[in-house]
Amino acid sequence: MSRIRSSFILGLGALVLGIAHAQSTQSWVFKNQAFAYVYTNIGTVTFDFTAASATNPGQLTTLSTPYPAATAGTFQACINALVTSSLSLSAQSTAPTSTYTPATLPSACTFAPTSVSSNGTFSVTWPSGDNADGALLVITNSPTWRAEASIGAWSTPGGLTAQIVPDLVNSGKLVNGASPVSLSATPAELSAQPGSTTDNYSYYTQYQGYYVVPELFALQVNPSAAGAQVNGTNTATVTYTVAFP
Amino acid sequence: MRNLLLAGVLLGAPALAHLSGIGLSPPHLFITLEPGESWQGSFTVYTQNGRGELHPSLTDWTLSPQGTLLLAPPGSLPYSAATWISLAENPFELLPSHPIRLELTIHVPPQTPTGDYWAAIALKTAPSPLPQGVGLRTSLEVLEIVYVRVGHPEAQAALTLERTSKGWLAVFANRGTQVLRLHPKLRFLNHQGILLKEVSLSEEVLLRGDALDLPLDGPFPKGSALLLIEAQAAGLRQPLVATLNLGP
Repeated sequence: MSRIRSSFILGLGALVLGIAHAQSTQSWVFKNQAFAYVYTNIGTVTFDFTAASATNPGQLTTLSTPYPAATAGTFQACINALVTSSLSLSAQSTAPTSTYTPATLPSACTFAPTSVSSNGTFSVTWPSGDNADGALLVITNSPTWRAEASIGAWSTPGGLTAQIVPDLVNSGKLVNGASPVSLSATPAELSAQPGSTTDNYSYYTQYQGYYVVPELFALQVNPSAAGAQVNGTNTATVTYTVAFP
Repeated sequence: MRNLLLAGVLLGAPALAHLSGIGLSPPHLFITLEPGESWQGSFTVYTQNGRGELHPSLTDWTLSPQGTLLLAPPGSLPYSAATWISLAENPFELLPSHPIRLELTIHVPPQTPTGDYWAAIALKTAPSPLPQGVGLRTSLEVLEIVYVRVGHPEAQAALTLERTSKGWLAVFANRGTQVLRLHPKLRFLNHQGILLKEVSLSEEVLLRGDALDLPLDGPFPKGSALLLIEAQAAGLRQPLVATLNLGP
């Protein structure tokens, strides 16, 4: 099976439609102009438990406070900047029919304190409140989507545990979505499943036919576990998975 | 390419920005075939954030009644189309402004019963570099969903109400051989039958043999006495309807 590299950008859906062909009589469809773009922050998070081990032995340290969690307002402003400045969606109330050009999407969007296009190394020192959150941002015109974060096992046994919890504050509540809302309105949807290692946080919002899916996660780690004291390398992998069924 | 990247790091070259954005166009394929037929096509992957290797692989997937995405090895779930799909599973590098078209072939085995089948092509980045000490690595995975419709499957579903310790649930059950795309609506009426509020919920995918739970928890609009739940889906002869009395 060959793989073809192409430099074309405009009208990807239409071009794919034109190139694909059937070997026998059949009919097939897909939504022309359909697209999905997933932004995330990718990097390495390192933990320094030295201070925490002395001050909070046996206590599960959470990162929900005191570091500045992202607020509904900050990501709304961010998404507004992404969508309105680049996609020209004036006065559309349904999925867009105009040509979509991926190149016009900005390459970065920053929620306070997380950028969804950042990559690199993040350091967390207990109990200073440094940030160890992760973020996903999906822009799509597909009305269905699933986004989740999962965390694998630690590479070295030692009782070290970690959890992924939602990390978005809107009037003191975590924000989530069971139904689309206008981005111009205050997000009010809420559905979070904290406390497990694989959760599906389904906040999303619909902006003039485009669905924008912000997902924020913060890590909870027990700093008093034996694994936290290991001087050698002890890692686990967080995987962000996104699908559009 | 892996060797080149490694050489760059060893020589002290600036580290490449890790791939942190992936685009799909279209994000899912829907193919209709008869038993014994084949199809060749493609989808496009692109990025604007960094650069890096993507590792394609086939996977099965399903949804829990609560809507959570669940992955499984290819060919392990009912109605899997994973074993019908052929694609090159070699890692490839993704660069900004250089979309890559991934080609695939689908062959439906002869004698395959009529119905909808599905699988996905997972595209996953390599985990970020190993940290020193205690730390976490991150990886991004996007799925290109592939549906294969064989023949002319039947659309059939049921809607029931179930009371749980947490309240009422509207349970949608797919009893046909099609994958359904439900469009639920909630209508709140007062004692006089006057519509107080109508809420259109997001599209939901209801796979073959699956059920979907829709919690009917409040708060409801003030004065609500009756809740009408209605869902439509292409292929259904009539909408699914249920009524919940919300009390005095």
